[in-house]
Amino acid sequence: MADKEERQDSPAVDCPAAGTGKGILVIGGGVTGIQAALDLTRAGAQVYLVEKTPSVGGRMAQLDKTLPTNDCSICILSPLLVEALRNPNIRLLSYSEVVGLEGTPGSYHAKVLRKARYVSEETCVGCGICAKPCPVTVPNEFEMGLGDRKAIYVPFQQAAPLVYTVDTENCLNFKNGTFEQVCDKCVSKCPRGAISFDLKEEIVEIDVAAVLVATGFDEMNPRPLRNLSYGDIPDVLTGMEFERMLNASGPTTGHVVKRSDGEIPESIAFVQCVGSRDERYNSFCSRVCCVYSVKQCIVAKDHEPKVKDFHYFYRDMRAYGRGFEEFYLRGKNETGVNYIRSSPSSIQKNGNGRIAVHYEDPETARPASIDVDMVILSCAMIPSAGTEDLAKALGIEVGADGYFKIEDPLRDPLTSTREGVLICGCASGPKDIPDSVAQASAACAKALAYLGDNKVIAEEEPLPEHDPDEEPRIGVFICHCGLNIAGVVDSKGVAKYAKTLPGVAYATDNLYTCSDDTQKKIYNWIKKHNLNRVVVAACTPRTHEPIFRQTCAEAGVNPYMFDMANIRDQCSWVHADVPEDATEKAKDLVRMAVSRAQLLRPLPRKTVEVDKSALVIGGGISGIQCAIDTARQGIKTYLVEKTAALGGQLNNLDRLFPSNQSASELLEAKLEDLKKAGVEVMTSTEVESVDGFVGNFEVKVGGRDLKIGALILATGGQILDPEGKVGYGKFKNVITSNDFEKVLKETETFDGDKQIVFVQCVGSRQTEGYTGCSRYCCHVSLKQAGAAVKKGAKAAIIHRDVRAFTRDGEALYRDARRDGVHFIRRPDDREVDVKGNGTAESVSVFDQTLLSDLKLDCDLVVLAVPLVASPTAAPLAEMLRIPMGLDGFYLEKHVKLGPLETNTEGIFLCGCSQYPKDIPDSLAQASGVAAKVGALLSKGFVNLDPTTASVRTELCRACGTCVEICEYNAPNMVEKDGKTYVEINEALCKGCGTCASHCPTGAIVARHFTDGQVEAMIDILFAEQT
Amino acid sequence: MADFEPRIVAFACNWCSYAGADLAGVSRLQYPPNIRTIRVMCSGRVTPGWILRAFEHGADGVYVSGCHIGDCHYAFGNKMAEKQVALAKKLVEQLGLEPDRLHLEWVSASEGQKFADSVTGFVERIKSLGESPIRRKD
Ligand code: FES
Repeated sequence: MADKEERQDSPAVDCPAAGTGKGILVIGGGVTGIQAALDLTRAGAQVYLVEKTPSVGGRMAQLDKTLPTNDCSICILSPLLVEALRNPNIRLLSYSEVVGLEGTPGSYHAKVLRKARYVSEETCVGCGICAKPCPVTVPNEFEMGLGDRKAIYVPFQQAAPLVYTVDTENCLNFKNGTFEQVCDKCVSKCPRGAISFDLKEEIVEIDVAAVLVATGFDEMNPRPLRNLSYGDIPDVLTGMEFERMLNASGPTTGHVVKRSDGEIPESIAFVQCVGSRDERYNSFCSRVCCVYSVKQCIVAKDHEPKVKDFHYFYRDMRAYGRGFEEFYLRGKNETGVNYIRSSPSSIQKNGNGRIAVHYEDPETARPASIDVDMVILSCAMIPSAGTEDLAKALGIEVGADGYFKIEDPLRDPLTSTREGVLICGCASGPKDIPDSVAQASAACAKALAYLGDNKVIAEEEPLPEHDPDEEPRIGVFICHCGLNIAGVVDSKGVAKYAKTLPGVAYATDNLYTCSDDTQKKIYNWIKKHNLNRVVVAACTPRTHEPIFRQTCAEAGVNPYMFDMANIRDQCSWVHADVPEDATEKAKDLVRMAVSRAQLLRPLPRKTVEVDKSALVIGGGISGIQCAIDTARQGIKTYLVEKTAALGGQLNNLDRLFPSNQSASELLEAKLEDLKKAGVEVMTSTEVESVDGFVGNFEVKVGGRDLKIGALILATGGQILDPEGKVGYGKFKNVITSNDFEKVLKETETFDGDKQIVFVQCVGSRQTEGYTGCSRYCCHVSLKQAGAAVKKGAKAAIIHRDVRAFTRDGEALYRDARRDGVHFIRRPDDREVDVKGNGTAESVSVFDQTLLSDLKLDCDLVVLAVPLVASPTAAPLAEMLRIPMGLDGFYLEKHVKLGPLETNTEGIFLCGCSQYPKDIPDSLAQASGVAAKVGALLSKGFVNLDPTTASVRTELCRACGTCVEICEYNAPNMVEKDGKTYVEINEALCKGCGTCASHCPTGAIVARHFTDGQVEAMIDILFAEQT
Repeated sequence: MADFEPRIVAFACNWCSYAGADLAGVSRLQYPPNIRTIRVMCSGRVTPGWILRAFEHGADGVYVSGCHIGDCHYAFGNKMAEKQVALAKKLVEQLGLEPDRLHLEWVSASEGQKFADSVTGFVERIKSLGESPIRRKD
């Protein structure tokens, strides 16, 4: 064990001792693995990223849209892929598999098999000349078999790395895996001699401190469910197949068509839970299908308005995430989705050439059938192929469901059965993207603890400078974005036009301008043509500006000498019916960008030092976990809690799902960790004020003034007061589930006749007010009802949908049924009525399954009330200028890829302050935030955006207008040498430019959005046309 | 006059309105191709000078959009924009143009539909107002 020197500013740190491992091994290159790799390098780790297939990207690369915002999936993923690929501290081993792991945590020794592509990664440029003459055509896995590829192939056009691979299962030169040359069409055509059948597989050995497993999932093949006719009827597709069909770059270029005859279907059926929640195949819930099918309905309707009907068959609508409930209702209200609560018994070809879906009509409880033209099956998400082999190679276990086993999901939701081997994303069960990336970050926090000080601190290079007098030499790159742009806008024509514009030294068009290989090309063009400014006409700068800026910087062009013209989101996509006008608009936008580019000025890198300290606000389980993991990284950590005791909601709970651990034991253990980690705890204390900015917050708390590098909001939530609802307040035996925890704690056995009725969704999923789902209440009631029955009581649960979506949730539901818990489903619009005399005696409700009114006797009624935002949330939000959602919870930076950050750098969210969550999810998020904080503070400084305001002192008349309007106190009146003028504190300036637009003398310059630059755009826009 | 195609310049703040315009694209909402958008970080950056300049160069309409009041990424930039646009309206009138040729709209990042609808409405309105007299003069 290496001796670890105590950092001066760090308390006694209780963390695993670092070993000999010099990096971290990440297995799986989907969004989870990529996110983990990037987070790790940001914290200074060297990463080995092993991907089994020829390209990183994973499942997210295959998706068309992400919900609930319906963002283009690959578009938000691809900047991450490019960033990972060009990161010097990530060594990508694609088309490789881990075959062995020896050693101990901190000092693991891994063996990685690099399979032979028979194409040299160094030499191949991905031109694709080899694939054309290849005589073998096979179904393309990336297109879920709906499209074809050759035996030498790249899975998709934005593949990273963009290197071809010989598929030895199908190449004519391989017979049962042995090579015998019969065809040399690809070899002879390759202009670079990159293809060689002499290449051999090899074993690479690496020393790492920890291993992250992010191997994701596969879609189950529904063929065994013969009654659903998958494979027999060509228009019965799986969810992933349909996803490819919806994709504009997919096999049908985004058109919804029947595979049987190429016609547009009039009516589509969606079937949930195919192979999941089904004892014969997979008993777990696949967690994402309910809402992704809603998304598919909405997107299909968008793409093909001629599709009239969407019949959506489901069992429980599990729309549990933030904005999901609203999204599900949007499907009904806007797209007209016909939700039918029933599982089809069979799907068959009909005499009239259509497809008959047979099911039991929930409204009559009679057999019924509907004719449709297409059926989409939401198939189970199963462990990715090879999970068992990998488990063997890593010496870890898999659970009964086939996914990697988590040793103790409550204490540590990420660690497998072997210490230092962490599981994240779908490798430990189905998850959506935000939950997966939150886990990725969380796993990083754990992994980094094993790495200790074995870090590589990357040197920041100064940004390229330019001679202010040099002639503009602008490079213009016009994107096709596959067919997204070029399908409407004449991209080639726009490129040709760009060549004629003043200052343009080079212009061309690219299939995918953001792909990794185009970055290399842009780099070369910049060098070759000696460019000093770059304009890219493609998608939106909001997502893609960073990657192009980085390319510019690498090639010696200052990143602020770059501009984008948005010819996709704001042109080709919105003017699809008028291609000529769209092309004209694209030309205008390019002309405007070029004209601005002439006037762009280089800006230097600006950094500020950061304080290596963090303040966690809120001492519930999330705050505690976050503080522990932050402090373990050697960061001085404070934890403030406004009440007298730590633990938050945990103090009210008895036993916890899924491992049935006692809440007080868990809390005790965590508090012990907290102490060991050296966190400074302040109870009965509130934050009084916060000033400053990332790395340099000035916080007044408990009468102290603290300098803080990062702030974490773990303010949790509070249980909604159900006063007046379902007899609460009227009858004293109507209590909340929180109260019932106490009852459970205190009761050994219930008297046998005790009848307990649980009522779900009291105050949540409302048409007004609290419209969302509180996410964890179903599990709570299942757990409580199960426990009550075990203690001798009788229990019934009145629900609208049983949302037992977690890995062990379905088993909990099944066990409750088995143990005799009575489940009653009520329709959304029928209320529960409690009657009694002083005490509640009966509960009446309409039973949707029996289609009749039902009256239950009750001794106790337990209301599952939702978690609402904490009362401290709003004042804090105001103090910190953090946006809140309509639901009163804080808004995360990005629904999919930024669940842990806020829009303000240096301020993070964890636990229920973002949205209601269960304990494992809260813990994962808390650890994830700790990793983000570690990455932010590890270097001792952060980069600031240099696009701030600045003052031309000679013009300043010290009128004070700017001082008055700035919300951030950036402008300051100063007096020097008898002159009074304004100076801008650039660390405080956020770059909105409002002061510049109000400065009466023009003394204030909004860098990067100067009057000159904007006026040049206005002038050129109208100049050409008049 | 019926077939006249208005030329409109739009200013959109990066955080809400430009994002809303992107969302309109992501949702494939269709609107008339008459606007050319200039992205600024905040609507508070837009100056009456730019607006007038656009009109003087022959713009038939100018569309300014920012976050809803209360949602500005920089707290109150949009409040300042509101004032600036009101001032600009007066100046536009002095130029001899209908003040309706200048329009301010709050569009949030989730309001793709609103962006598309309001642009469509604005283009219609400008069509009914006809070509800018300044442009006709040229
Ligand atoms: S950022 Fe949108 S108006 Fe200020």
